[in-house]
Amino acid sequence: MILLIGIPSEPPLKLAIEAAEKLNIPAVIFNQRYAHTYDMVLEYVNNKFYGCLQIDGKEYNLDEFTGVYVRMMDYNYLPEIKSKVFNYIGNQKALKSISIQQQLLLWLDGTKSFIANRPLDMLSNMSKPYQTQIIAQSGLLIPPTLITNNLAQLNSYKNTNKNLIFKSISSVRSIVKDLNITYTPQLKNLQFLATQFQKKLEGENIRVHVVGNQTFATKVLSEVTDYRYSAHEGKETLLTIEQLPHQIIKACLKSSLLLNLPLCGIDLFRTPQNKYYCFEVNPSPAYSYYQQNTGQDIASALVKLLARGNNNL
Amino acid sequence: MDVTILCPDNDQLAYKVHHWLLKENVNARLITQHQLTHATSWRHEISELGKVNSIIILRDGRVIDSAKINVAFNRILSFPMLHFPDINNRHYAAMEQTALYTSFLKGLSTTLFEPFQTDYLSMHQNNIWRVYHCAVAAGLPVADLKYTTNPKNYPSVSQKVLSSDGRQFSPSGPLSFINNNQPVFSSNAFQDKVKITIVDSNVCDNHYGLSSHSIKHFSNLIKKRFYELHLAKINNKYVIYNVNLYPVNVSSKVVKVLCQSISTPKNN
Repeated sequence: MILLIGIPSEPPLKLAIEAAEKLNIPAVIFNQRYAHTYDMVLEYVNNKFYGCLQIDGKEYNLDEFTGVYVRMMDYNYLPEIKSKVFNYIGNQKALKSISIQQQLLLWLDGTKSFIANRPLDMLSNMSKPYQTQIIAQSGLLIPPTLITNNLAQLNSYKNTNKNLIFKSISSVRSIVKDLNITYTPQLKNLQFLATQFQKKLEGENIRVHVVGNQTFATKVLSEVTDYRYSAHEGKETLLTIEQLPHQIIKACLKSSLLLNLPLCGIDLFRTPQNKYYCFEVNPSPAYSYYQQNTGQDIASALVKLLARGNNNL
Repeated sequence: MDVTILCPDNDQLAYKVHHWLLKENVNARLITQHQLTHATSWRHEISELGKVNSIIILRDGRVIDSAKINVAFNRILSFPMLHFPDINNRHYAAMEQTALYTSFLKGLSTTLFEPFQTDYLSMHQNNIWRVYHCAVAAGLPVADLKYTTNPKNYPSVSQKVLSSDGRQFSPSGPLSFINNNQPVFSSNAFQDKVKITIVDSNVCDNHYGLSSHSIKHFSNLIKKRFYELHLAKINNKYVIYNVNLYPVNVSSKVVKVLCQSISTPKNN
């Protein structure tokens, strides 16, 4: 039996639920929005652990789940919990919902069960340059990067690397922008907070989803620097299935292993010289967007992986 | 041996360590979070092969060159970035500065006194369940601990009056608290509490019956070289009920052992 955690109408979780049904893999859904209606027990008695979830009147021993898919959104933003919004469930139920979700996250980090992905391991994405140092160990190149709060250092770097882009250092989502003359007036603020600059590369985006030891590569054709926001700029994005060289597939699998992320979305970039760079590894990929546009059955691979559990290792 | 101590502005332990090392003629420098936040220049560069070089120039003129650090003893957990008056900007700046610092520490991996972990700067490191799992795996005894969202599961735990913030620590044990008039945590009642400090898997004082081998195993599992175990006496036996991963108030004997460990080349 597998456990799927998140909001069932959200596309990645929705596809996983449908795939489990199609493959007859028994699945329990932990709907974050109904967490206040569930119960949970975690305990250590005489040095032995026991944990169970009670969902819709049924009790599930946590150790009996072969695998868990974690697609949780920050519970502070759930309409049931955020006060003064339409679905607010009141203080008492909101506290219960928060408590159960907090403890579930802590259990996920400590359990020996197969988790895709453990919240603790997802933290590598909280610092992109930290994560890229690990990615580089897998053999993938990373874009030359400078993080500075000093304009003179930036100018010197710009002289050797010509065109630069800038983006957030942390997991806070930012739109990747070209560092052009438009931003010159804002650079005086650089002294207050260091910013991440990277050499702008020429080539094409490839998203690779790793699911256990399987990979699904998608080429992304877009005219804008950050294809996630192409619609904002009135441009189209075309997604097609891509075959990657064996050594790149191997490097992607190694990145997934080094980061301990059995499910991940790797943002690759291929230059005209056939060099592969990695921008980052997304620990909670919205794979549904790629599956729906290319027909790659990532969801089925995921639920099969969870059903095999620790036998994958 | 050069030792670089990176610490919050008011970290008494870091100041004691710095003082002790200087007294013993170790070339040690102390750099505070405030000095790092307001450095004249941060230059953190990563090559396409993942090679890192960091050069930080502080306002007092001191230079931190990552390539020239022998040993780094880090105590900084976060950057509050209080110079950003707007709360949203401050939150963003704190995330960014912490992310930069995380990468800086990763670049120092081989010289850091304690190994770097992904939970290094997060709340996840205080996960009591993980601590318990590691303790039991290492063969150390733990106090009973129970969590439930439904008080019916533990009828023996009495209901308590709520405090204004919805929580109240119960006198029955340090891990018992009442949430929303429902008992969510409970543990054994215990009175006799002690703490022991571990430096490099060695207990600085009394072992209280815990096996040295198990403590060493536990240190490896939690990947810490300096921490405190909180013990309570239950049924005439000491068991673990908590771990402090960032001890502050320690004896001068512990400071000495810690400093010797930090400044001994074979240990780093």
